[in-house]
Amino acid sequence: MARPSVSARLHDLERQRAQVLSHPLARGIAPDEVQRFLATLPDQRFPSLCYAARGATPLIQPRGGVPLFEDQLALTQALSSAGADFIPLTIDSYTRHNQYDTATQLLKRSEEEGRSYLNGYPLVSHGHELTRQLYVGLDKPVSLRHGTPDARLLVEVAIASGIVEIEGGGLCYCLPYSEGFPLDRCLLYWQYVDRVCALYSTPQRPVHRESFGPLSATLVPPAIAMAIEIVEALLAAEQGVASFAVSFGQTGSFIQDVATARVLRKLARHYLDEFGFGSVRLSLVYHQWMGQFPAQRERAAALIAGSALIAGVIDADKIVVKTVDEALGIPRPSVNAEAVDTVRYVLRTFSAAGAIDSPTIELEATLLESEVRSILGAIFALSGDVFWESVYRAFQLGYLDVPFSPHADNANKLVSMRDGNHSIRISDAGQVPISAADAATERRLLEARADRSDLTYRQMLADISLMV
Amino acid sequence: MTLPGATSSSQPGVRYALDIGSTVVKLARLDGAGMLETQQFFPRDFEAGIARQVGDVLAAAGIDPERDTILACSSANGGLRIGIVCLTKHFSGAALRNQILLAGANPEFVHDMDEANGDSRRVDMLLVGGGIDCEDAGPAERRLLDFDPGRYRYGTLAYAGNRFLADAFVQRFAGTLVIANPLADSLSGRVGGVFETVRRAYLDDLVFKEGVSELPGQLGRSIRPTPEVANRGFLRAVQNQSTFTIVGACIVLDIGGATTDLHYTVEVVSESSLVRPARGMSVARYVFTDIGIVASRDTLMAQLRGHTQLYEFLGAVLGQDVRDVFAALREGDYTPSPALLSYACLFLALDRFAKGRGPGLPTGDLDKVAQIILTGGAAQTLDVSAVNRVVALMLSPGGAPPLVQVDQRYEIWVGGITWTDDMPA
Repeated sequence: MARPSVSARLHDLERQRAQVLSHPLARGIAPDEVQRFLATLPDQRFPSLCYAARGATPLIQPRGGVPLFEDQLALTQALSSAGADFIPLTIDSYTRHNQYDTATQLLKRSEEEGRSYLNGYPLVSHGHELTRQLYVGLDKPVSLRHGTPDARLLVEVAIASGIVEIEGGGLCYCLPYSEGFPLDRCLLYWQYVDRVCALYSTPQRPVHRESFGPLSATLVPPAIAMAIEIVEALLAAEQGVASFAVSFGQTGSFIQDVATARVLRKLARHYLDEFGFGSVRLSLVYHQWMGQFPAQRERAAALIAGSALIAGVIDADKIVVKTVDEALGIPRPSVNAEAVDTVRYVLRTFSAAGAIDSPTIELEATLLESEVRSILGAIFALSGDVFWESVYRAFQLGYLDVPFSPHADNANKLVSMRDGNHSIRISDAGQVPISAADAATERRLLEARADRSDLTYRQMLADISLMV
Repeated sequence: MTLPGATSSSQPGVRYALDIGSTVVKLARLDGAGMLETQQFFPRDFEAGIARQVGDVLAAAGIDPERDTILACSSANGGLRIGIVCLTKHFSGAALRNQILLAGANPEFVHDMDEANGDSRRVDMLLVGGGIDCEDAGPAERRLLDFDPGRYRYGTLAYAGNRFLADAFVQRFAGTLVIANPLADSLSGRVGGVFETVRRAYLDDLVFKEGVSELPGQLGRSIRPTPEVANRGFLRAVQNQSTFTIVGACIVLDIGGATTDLHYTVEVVSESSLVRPARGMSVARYVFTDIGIVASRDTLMAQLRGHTQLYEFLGAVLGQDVRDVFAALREGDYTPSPALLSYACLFLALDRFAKGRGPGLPTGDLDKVAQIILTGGAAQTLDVSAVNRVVALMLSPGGAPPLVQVDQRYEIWVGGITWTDDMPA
């Protein structure tokens, strides 16, 4: 049995780190110089300080990444001017898959032809010295958004560039994004990332980590998402990460979103404390609808406004916003700026943190908490010398099972659908170790749906396309 | 003759490890922490046979098989040969093939069921599989019932396909060994029944063919296939469960007399490779049966002589004017040293991996490799700087050189031989 412990901390990082930093595209990154550079950044660049200072409404973060430096600079300035509280840096797909040569070639071609051949900013190809210039004078945190199973070099370059919010994790950036990248390798590579983040942190200004709770963003039961978020928080804490954000994606059910936020915040804190990580600063991030987005501008705008309202109600520390162009492609800077403005308007106008409660929400929260405790309890009881091994085994055994994950280590036994109030229900738990009573409750709630179809796949398709 | 160090494992935790190779028997002493303390090598005595030679070696070292703990592995008979017949080569065929490799056996061929000519090579087991577990499998059933095993030469017929078609298959071919379908109903390709069955068959095969059952004490019943041992050792290393520090995407080359075994973390496989390791695997292996410094010396030399980068290779290894050596080697008038042969094994194995040249071998992206570990007896004489120069021949210009290490304490092997079934892996 392997429970989370500080004794799992990587102690022999130097050899691995020397190899990672020997890559030519690391361009001679020297940790000492990076440490000195980070010390020159204003406090406002560090997320945990921003979270501590935020007012009554969630902070706002858009998404955005384009290949050319000048365009990324313009996007950064546009988003900052529009009132974004966090500035995103979204990475291109080739870099995410460690294909730096291809990314560099396509960057060069993009520069020569003045058009984009990449779907994000190729950070490793640009390098840390140039990327530092993107953020000169900026007094907001920059968030690295990617989806990279092996993010060791990318994160080294990011932190050297002054980016001190690192999204991802060994589970959340592998299961939804990769079919074949070995999960055990991914977990180990993210131990490196977590350890490097910890090494660059100071007690007052920690490098912040954030997990990606939406996962496949397709009918993921909140209990699964929460269990994974808590596991990643514990894995990061083992490596010394001092500031961590758990997150989840809008479920499609107002009731379930409120209940999920309540349970996730409570249990993440509970388990961090239980395993001796009480000093870790915890925050909660809410992702606007990550599923299939309506193509009509009006519906997209309504969806964005509605989810902004929910973010305010659940008192999220941060909301990650979508744009009305979501169904169409990569948003233009102006549309991205509009989305930030819309969300800020809704948050300011309808500020209502913690104002909602009801017996239905209470019942939902009780059910979710029971499920998450069961799942985590079963993982903690698995064999293994260290916690990550138990987590890896949990996937092999199907204890953690993410619907619609393309990954080979995912069991794909769990079946989920929506009930009458659009909450995601577990129709068949597969090997996920929830109690018989909770499984029965899930089925009972599902069967109460009035328009329930006997054809599972038709019902699922309709449920996936809920917002369209 | 006694093994250097203490002569008995009666000290707490001390164990002995025995590796019966095709040309050498290795006896090692492991300390209480499972680390290699000492080891000795003995040329195989083919006249005496395995059982007698091992008995003599243990007796001379003062080891009592009834009292002392002995871990043993063998590749002495060249491994179990398996033929695969499946519905789709790239899916069920790949899943079956990978489990066979993990179990330490050698897949001889992968055919689909419609292969008209079969295969004349004799295999120890013909494994028929394909499809997921579902009742409505009309097309698969038709192909399965049309299948004619008479086109193959095999010792045992095994079925590992859609479980709903198993009865029909057994009715047609009485005595068929039925194994759980690795694809089950979720296309997962997980390690399971096939791996276990082939592993057992490998052990039975060893016992049957090599007289290993006559080994003293419990050895005959506990011996394990050497390729599986190496693969387990590598897996333990990449999962940070051994003393070896793995720094990233990694390759292990085990250079031997008859074969060169390539073990690799699967992220090394090129994105564009048409052949891919089965899903869900963290490490994979490939055996170059024609690359080795003793039994496969002739095929090794033939490949080396014809290689377009021979001159560059010689320059990287010998580091001097190599014109004369180059010319003599081309003409077949040069007798290379064992060390040069070992470098050639390294060069050719990496080159073929980078080009995907080998049946069922994926194309490797050597630029992704962060670490190369050389293990096995033949690797001990290699110079790291020369290895670096050889590897550089195959990297893209400006590419990051991998960390090259020689496994001088046989840690990969020790990690594998001390692995037990109840360990997480």
